[in-house]
Amino acid sequence: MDNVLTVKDLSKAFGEITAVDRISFDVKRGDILGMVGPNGAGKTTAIRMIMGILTPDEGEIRFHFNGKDTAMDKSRIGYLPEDRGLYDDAKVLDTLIYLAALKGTPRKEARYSALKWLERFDLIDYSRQKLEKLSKGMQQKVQFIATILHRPEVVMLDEPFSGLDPINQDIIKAFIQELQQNGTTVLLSAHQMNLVEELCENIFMINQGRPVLYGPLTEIKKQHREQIIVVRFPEQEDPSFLKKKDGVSLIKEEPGRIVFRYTGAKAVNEILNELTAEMALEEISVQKPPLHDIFIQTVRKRGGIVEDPHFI
Amino acid sequence: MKIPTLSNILKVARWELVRNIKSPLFLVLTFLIPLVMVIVAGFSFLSEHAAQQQEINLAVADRTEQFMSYLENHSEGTQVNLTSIVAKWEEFEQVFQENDFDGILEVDKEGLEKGILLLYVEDPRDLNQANLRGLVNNAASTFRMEEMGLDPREIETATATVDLKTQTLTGEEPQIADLLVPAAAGMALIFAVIFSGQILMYGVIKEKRNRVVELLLSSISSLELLLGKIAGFGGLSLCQIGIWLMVGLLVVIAFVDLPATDLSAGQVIPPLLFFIFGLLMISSIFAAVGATMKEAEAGSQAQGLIILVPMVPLFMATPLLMNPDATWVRIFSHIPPFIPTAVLLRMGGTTLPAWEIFSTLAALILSTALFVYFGAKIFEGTILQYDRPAGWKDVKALFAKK
Repeated sequence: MDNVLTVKDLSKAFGEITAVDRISFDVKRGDILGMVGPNGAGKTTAIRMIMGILTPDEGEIRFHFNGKDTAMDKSRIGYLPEDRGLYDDAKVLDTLIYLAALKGTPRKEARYSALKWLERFDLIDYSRQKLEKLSKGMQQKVQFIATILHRPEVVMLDEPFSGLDPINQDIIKAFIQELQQNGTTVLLSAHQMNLVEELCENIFMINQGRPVLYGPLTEIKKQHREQIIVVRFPEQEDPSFLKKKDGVSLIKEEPGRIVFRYTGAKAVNEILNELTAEMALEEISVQKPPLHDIFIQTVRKRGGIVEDPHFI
Repeated sequence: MKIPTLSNILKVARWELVRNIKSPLFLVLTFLIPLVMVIVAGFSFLSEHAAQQQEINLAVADRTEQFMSYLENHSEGTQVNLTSIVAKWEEFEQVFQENDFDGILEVDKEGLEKGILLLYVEDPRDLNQANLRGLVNNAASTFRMEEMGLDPREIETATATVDLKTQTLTGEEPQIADLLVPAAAGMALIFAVIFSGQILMYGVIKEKRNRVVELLLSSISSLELLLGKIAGFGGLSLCQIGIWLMVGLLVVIAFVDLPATDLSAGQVIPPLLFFIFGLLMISSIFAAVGATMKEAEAGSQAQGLIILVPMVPLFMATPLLMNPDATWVRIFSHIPPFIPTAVLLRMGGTTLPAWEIFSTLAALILSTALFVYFGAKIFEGTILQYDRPAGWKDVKALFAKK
């Protein structure tokens, strides 16, 4: 897969605060790259620079369209900003046509596509309504339509799930997957790591403007030696021997169930064998830790802090 | 800064024009003002007409026993009805009670010699004295001249009026358009700044507040957005002013007796250019200031200050018109924010030399380009600052950054 976007040593400071500090990554054509990090990590600033809305202090942003290296072609890119908003006193259809026209789509074509998308999102009855008459969820859908109406090759989605209820989150999730199936490249910025894990094969983690981890999700998890082991057992059994084992740290213990983290030198199989030898078991599961844990641990291992209290 | 694309500017301009032309604020401002103009013009015309047509019943107590006939001669064709009375001053109150007189004029030799005649009225506000004064003056002049021994033909010759006919050394007659076109352009500029300028500024603040601006900037550059807005709101101003001019013209044609005049390109194009570039320059200030604001409420103070910019030359109108060719006036006319109104004002008051029209226009075009450039820089640098308004420090930092 060739790269559609290359970001190299990108930096941006606002006064004394460095919002983005020498980040580099590539986005492969047809891929969904997840840019993850807590609020204030620098994701939005990075995307704004990629979109040409902010000027970088340093670094390089290159797009590759039609086999050619190009600095920027806004008509080929769709953008869903984190701070969402549309003209509340304008009609839905007029707004969509205007925004598509700014991306270079002929008005007639934009009108046809807009009506098609409004129908698909069950908003066709609202096409002649002013946006202020629509619910927040509906407005978000309209904004989503505005992002892809001009059939972009690359779509930048900045926190697309924020403010959505679980049902609408699923709709948008399915839609992002459909975009990828149709060959659209997606740069997805989000702080909900579980959703990113479900959607992305490659991720770029960022904290306090600095890169934390970057690469295929499976590789990142593989490199992370830690395992989360969940054991269910009859209530009369005593699992306390586990606590003395090297590399075991307890996460949760309750009657008939224990969850622990294993980072010891022995293979997981050996630990499981020891477990079956020592006590009767009902169920056992071994998981790689979620992305969220990997992120927090990597940041802490490097002496950093996660400033967003909701993220920890 | 990237070179702006005309098609993107036009797309924004079209959107702003179509959207705002239907806005209630624009409709109220556009149609309410002509309505007020029509009402005011109609009212003043009708009241003046009514005053001229007012019938005055005047009693004359003529102690000279001669002046009444002069008054009667001069009252032909006027709305003054004269009645001769014989009554003393003490009886005047009774005369008023028994008759429907608007006033009693007491004429005596001494009064005519001194030039002061006494007019007794019940309430001075009920009587339009302008018509009466002309009648009494004319009668008194004729009376005095006859007293001096002049015959009626000599009196007619002596009292014939003289008109001043003005023309230049080349024989051209002064044209009302030379005064009216720059005055109209100047007034149009001030109205456009007051009305459309504030809609533009509040539009920018609103786009910033509802975050739509970020979406726009992901499609076009800040300079294209700024120029599109200025063009759109400029178009809006032209529509508005066009409607006002049309209504104004209809009112003038209906109520005022103006000499017919032909407009030449030389009379129209220079004022039009000063209007267009002046509007561009001041609009870019409005947009840039709007971009630094967080809330619309904060904009009202700034709006007042910006509106003052084109009005400063108006406050200095008297010295500017008294000395239109003075050195300080020429220098003042080249100071960027004041150029359009100062020059339009002077154009109405005198004939500016061609070199000065070119030099002020060049200064205006250059400064407009600079204002738009710096306006776009401020717009670009502060429009995404959602959490707080941008201050001088932020603007300074913008220009300090390489």
